[in-house]
Amino acid sequence: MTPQAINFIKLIAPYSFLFFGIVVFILPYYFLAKYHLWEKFKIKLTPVFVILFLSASLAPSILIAVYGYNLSKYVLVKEAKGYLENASYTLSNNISSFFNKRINEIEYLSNMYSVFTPVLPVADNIAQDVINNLKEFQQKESSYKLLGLIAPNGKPLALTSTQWRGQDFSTQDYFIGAMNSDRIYFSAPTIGTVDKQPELVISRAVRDLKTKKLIGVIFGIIDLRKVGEITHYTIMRSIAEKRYIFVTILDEGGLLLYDNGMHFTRYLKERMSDNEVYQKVKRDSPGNREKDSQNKEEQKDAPFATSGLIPFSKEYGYVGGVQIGIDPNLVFNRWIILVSIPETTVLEGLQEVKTRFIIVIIAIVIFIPFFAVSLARDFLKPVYELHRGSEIIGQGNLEHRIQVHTGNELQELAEQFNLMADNLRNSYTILEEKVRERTRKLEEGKTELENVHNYLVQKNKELGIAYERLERLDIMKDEFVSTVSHELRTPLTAIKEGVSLIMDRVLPGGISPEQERVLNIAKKNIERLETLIQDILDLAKLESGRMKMVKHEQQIQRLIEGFVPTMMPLVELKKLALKYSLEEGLPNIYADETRLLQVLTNLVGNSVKFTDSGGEITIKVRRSASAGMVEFDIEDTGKGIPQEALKRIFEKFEQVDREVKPGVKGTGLGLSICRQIVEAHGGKISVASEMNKGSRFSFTMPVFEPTIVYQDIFRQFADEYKQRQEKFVISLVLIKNYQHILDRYGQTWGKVLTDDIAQALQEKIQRDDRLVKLDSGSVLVLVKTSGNNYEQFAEKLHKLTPGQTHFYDKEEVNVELVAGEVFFPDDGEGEQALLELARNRAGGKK
Amino acid sequence: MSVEKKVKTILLVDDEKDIAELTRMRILSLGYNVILAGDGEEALIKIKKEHPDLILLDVKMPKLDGYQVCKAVKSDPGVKDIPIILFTASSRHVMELGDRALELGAASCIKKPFDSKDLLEQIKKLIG
Repeated sequence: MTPQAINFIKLIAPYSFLFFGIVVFILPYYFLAKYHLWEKFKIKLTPVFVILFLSASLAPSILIAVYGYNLSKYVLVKEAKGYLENASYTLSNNISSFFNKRINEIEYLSNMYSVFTPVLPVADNIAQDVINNLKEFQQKESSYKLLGLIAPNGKPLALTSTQWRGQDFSTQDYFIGAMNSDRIYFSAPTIGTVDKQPELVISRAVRDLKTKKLIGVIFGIIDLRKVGEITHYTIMRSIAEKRYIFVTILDEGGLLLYDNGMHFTRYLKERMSDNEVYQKVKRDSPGNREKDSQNKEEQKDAPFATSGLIPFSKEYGYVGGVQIGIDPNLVFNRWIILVSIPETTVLEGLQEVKTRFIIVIIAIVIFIPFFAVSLARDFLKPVYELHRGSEIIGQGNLEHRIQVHTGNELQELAEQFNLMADNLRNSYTILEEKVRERTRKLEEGKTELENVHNYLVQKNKELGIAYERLERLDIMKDEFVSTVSHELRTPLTAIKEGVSLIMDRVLPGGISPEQERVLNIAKKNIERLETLIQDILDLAKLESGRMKMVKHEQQIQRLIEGFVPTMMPLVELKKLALKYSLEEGLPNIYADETRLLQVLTNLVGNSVKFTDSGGEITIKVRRSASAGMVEFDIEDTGKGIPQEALKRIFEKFEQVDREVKPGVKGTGLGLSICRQIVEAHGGKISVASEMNKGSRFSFTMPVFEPTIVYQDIFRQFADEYKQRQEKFVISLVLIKNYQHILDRYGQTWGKVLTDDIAQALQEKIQRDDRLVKLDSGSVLVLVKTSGNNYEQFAEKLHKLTPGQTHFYDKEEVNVELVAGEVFFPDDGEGEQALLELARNRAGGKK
Repeated sequence: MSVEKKVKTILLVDDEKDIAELTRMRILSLGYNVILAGDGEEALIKIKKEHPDLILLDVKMPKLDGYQVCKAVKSDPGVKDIPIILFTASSRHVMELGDRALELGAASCIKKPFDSKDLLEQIKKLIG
């Protein structure tokens, strides 16, 4: 791996991690979202899925991060090791070269002095020249502590320092070693005796060039601190780069020669033969490897041996080592250089990488929620789109279409929705068209209607005017009829009274029978005129509806028995027989007694008129075929009425057979009045006749029915309230202990009792107030509240209730009465509702 | 202090002069004294002046009508004990009239044109 590649990897590792993280995390998400693979693969956005998805996205990123970190570390360590290797080779070269230079110098000196052999032992000045020569060398090369030439006897011939003068060198190993060989002698490193610094001596015997006679030994003491200096310069670059390399130089025995991280006082005193790297280097040294014939090629170079992370000196670090040279004769060649670099220094660059990773991971962790939200949004986008679309369509924008292309049910739903909107829009368009059409037609119709309306308004106005005029005319007619009848009656009264005065012979002077006959005719015609006027007046009232029928419960038997005697004078005068027959158990009827008698009088009178003497008139009363009615038949044995006259017989001024009996003349209004009265009661009048056999007039009257009576009265009173604001009270009087009375004394007596009480109540009320026996046991009283009507009644009623004593065949019966009252219109206006309310207030239950 | 039986006086109030005259003749025949008044005002004057034993009063009259006269008589302590018979031609209000007449203190009410017999019976009943 080239350094460039390493640098490149080192540079891009964290970013590649980021890049891969993005690719691994974002791209799948992007494609899943873009092509709606969620839906395609039917992925549901459950929390488990989200966690799995995020983990799956994050895991490769983290793996890449870890790999990148380890790669960076590997690269850094590799680089560090390479650096160590370089440094140790350079160092070994430098040291080697330093010592070779010194060897050459000593060789040179040895050769040089071998030329001057003869002069050496004789003269001190020669020695002085040698000393000067050596000093020159020492000045050139500061690593020499001392240079000197020693005589074969061990006495120094020349020394660059005077300190050593007179000392015997014969026992020094470098003297002995040099004397015994013709080669450079390298002493082992020692601590200098004078300066107590580590040193090393290079020596060489000096022999005469020709005679080979030993002249002496040349030697140089080299300050070993110079090695430290060399080391220092060599690793100067790394120091500048703040990459602290520790260099340790050991001799072949493991003795510490130099260490740039330690104090020099330890030099040559400590032995590091146990060091793993040292041993490894020593084991692989050229001397040892010579035995291994297979590795001959590598013998040239000292191997760089490395070990892993081992404890060395104070710190853990990467350590490597090399043996300086391969020539085993030179001591320094067997030295071993160990270089180490602390882990912290190596991994300093890694810290930066680590920081980058952490930043990227934090960034990703921060971005994950955003991704998650974005993810969820993308997931929900079709749903949201549906929701929004349905809302827009719902607000009436029928042009809006929902865009969902998920290819699943949602899209189907959206399409259905769009279809619905289409239909709605179409329907709406059609509807709008129809509405426009209708509106147009309506407008047309409206105009037409307006015209009609205006026309109607106009007509209505006209009608109103006409009606008012009619009303006025009607009133005028009534007034006219009333006035006329009054005005007619007054003179008639005068005439009648005058005739009567004469005929009654009130005045003095008599009258002749002739005169009396004339007066009688006059009187009869006066009476006829009186009747005519009365009939006209009655008919006018009946026709205008102004004649109020004062209806009450009527007992037919009592009515007929009262009526018949009033007709007797007329009947007897004509020698007729008047009979009546009543059906058994006839119900009471509901009629205006006066008017009913008027009808009977008219009809019977008619029969009398048209029946010859000896004839018979019969009044028959029976139940009618029509429900709730009683039929009155007046039959005679008279002449009969011609068929063609029957139809018109009830018309005004219609008289049949004027010629039948001269002198018997009616007004022609009687039957008309009868019809009006009967119809005002809700009945019907009819006639049947057979010539020369007789006629039969029939009319019906309603059966008395308390509820109808009540309705009748109620409506009448309510009408009057509308006209005159006359309020009224409905008072329901109940016999509280009625059931008990019925049980004890029976139905019949109960009715009698109710009648008695009704009678008693009847006496307490005014003429205009009305009373209804609602059913056996209860009486309804309607009292107008105008004036003090009601107060008086209430007071009387109060006296009547609660207890009354009645007698049942001399037995005293206590009758408890209760009353419930309701006010019209204050308590309501419905007849049934008011009746119920009154019943509630009376405390009675139906 | 006359021992002879005093003839009773009847005041007949009616604006119809002919009727009044005929009625007077009828009543006179019964032995009563009759004075006439043509309207309500005249009637009140004559009542004060003559103090009749009975007043026959037509309801429908110009100026004061019969009701007003009746009311005035009954509220005057001097003459309030004089019985009054009201009569009217209006059949429409005869019932109403009856009630009202009695309310006002009239003795009775008869319908016009009256049956002479009926009238005479009423008079006899009231003043003998």
